Amino acid sequence: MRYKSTGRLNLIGAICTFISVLIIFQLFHIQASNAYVALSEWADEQYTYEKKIVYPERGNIYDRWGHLLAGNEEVYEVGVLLQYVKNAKTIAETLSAIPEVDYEKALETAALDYDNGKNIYGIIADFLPSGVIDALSAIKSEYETLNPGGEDPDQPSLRGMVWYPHLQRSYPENTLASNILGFYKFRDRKNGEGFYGVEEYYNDILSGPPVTVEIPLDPYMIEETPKLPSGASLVLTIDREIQAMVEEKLDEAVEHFKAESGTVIVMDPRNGEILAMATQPHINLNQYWVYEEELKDTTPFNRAISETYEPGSVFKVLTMAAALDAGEVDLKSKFNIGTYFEYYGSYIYNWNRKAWGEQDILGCMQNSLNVCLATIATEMGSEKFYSYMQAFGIGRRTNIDLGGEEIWPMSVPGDDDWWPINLATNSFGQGVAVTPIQMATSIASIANGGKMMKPHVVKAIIQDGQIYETTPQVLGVPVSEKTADMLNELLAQSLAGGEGSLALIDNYRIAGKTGTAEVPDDGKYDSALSNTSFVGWGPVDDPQFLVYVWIEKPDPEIGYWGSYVAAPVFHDIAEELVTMLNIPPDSVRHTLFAQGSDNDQAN
Amino acid sequence: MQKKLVQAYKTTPRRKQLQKMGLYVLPVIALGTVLALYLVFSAQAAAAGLEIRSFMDKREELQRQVANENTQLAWLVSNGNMEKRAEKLGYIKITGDNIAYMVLPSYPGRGIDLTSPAPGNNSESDILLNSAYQQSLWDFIQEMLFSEPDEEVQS
Repeated sequence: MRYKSTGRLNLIGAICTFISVLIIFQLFHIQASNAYVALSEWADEQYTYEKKIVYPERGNIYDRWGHLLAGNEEVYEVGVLLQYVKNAKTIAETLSAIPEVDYEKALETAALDYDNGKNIYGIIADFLPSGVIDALSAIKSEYETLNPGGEDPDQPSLRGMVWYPHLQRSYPENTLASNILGFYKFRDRKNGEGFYGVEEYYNDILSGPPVTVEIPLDPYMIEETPKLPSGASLVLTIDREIQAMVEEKLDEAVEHFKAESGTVIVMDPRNGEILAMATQPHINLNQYWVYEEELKDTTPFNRAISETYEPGSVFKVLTMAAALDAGEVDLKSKFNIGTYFEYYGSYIYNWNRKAWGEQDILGCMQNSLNVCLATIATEMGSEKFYSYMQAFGIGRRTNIDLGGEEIWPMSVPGDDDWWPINLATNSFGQGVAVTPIQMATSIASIANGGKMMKPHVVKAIIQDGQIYETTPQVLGVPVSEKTADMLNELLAQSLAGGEGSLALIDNYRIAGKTGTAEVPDDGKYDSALSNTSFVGWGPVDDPQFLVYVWIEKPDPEIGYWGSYVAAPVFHDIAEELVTMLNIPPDSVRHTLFAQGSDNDQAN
Repeated sequence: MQKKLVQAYKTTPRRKQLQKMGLYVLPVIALGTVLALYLVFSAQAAAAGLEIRSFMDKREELQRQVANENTQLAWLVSNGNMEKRAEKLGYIKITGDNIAYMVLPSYPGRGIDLTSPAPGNNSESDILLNSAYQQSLWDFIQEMLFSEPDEEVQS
């Protein structure tokens, strides 16, 4: 009996051990099988992690003092979870109250049959502000009270209607500085990118790279949240108050002179910072999709960097700088200015088609005499002249940090489209096409002791709380400091006594030059229309600003000459600019400087 | 004479059975205890995990709200609005005639003052878990026993 009992127990034990060994063996076998590995990987992929593409918040854009010019605001996407829709008509009717929503399309979406894997969710409207969502939420709650769970099909119900928040690019200043900022195509949520201005030029660093994040669905798998790189923010060199003032003055001038458009650039010649850049037309960046209606035909987004034109006499500043620097002329040089100047069978006339007799270079600049400048350029020779023009960056990009900069190549000897007469006409700014930014950049070198600074609109970049300031870059030194200072003084005297007097402002010494150019049309010049320009800077002994004005094709019955059209715009802008930039009148500045020097010595 | 020692009594079969059962049941009880502890801690970890997920969602929501509030603030203090408010309050644009200039030796000048902070992660790390929960007991003991003490900082 005892033997039997022990034998049975041992048998059961052996069977259990055998089964256990079998189970363990099978466990190892399953775990090592290819099918298990594949299944495990598939399950991990499907159920362990949720893959999510995170688009970092686009960086902000500020003006030089930290005012927000471009940010992000919360808006909502409204859609339907088809599985829970009880009354598609109610949803369509309710949402069709929103102007952008069409009733038929909304009904079509809301009435789709739910099909797990295919039809789960449908979008009806997007980019709705929070106010609309608050109203929808209130209506939904009301219907839910009247018809709990949406069970009664004859009663209204918004069951299934849901909304999800997301960020949208926003421009709090609307049209202000629109040509500088450009815009971000926020309505294309997947492929949105920046167009024009800083939004285009700095698109990559503003947006930051999209990151695919694996979020564990298993709550046991707690992981550190990955550190997502956010878009960098930009601090511009633009001062929004100066920008607003300049835009206002420009709009007034364009309206007054019934001009086709206008452009103004305000620049700090010492470092190339653009303080303001205004052009027309302005577009509301929050409705960027209508820009094609605003900018007709081939109108560029930002004329200051994208539209080339023949600048006329403002170009004489560069010709005179080249001649002075090359030693072709000096302050004592005299020229006998006749009615015309003949060169290779072509005739160059002065603006009034009259002779001016003997003139020195001050008289040539003061009276803006084409014959004088053409004589100087031809005496200097094409090689020297074009060498200087290239040093000034004419025909080359300034590489300003804005999207969409255009140029017109400068024809030089040897090119198919260059003729000897070009040397004479180029000397006074005809037969050469430039953008306003090219002109402002090159002439700023005269105000800055010969050093030509790279124009730029970004002052600093902010990344992860750190501010990285940009460094001003020298593009070149086209003329010596001595030449620049000499011309600086010459143009101040020229302006004080010449036809540019409408540009002058009280208590400040300003240097500058007017420009009036005939407009080429179909290979000929249309003398009825003009491009009027003015470039001025000050204070002469310590230039802190340069203003370039271009008023395009003013009504000739109201104004034709740069001295009458563009110079007063400079005056109006510069008068307010000196206050906004805290530049004291010359006499006060000299007194304060003397006091400061005394204090320094005393200390 | 060799004596044969015989045990005076024998363990009863019932007691032997109980001892055997005890030997079998003991590992089961131990296993059960381990399982119970595992379940308790797993449940706590799961709850913490879910809470962290909800916090992450909340953080995203807050980041959106912060961005939105900053932009709304910028709308309120936009150049156009500020000009209107200044006019309403009776301010007029200053002209050169009304300004007195003076030298302030210690004044550093106007600088960048962001009306709203730039988006971005300013913190050094996003570690969710206390370091004590990021190593096993074995790692902790190893670290205690074998890690070299920090060198004294020479002043």
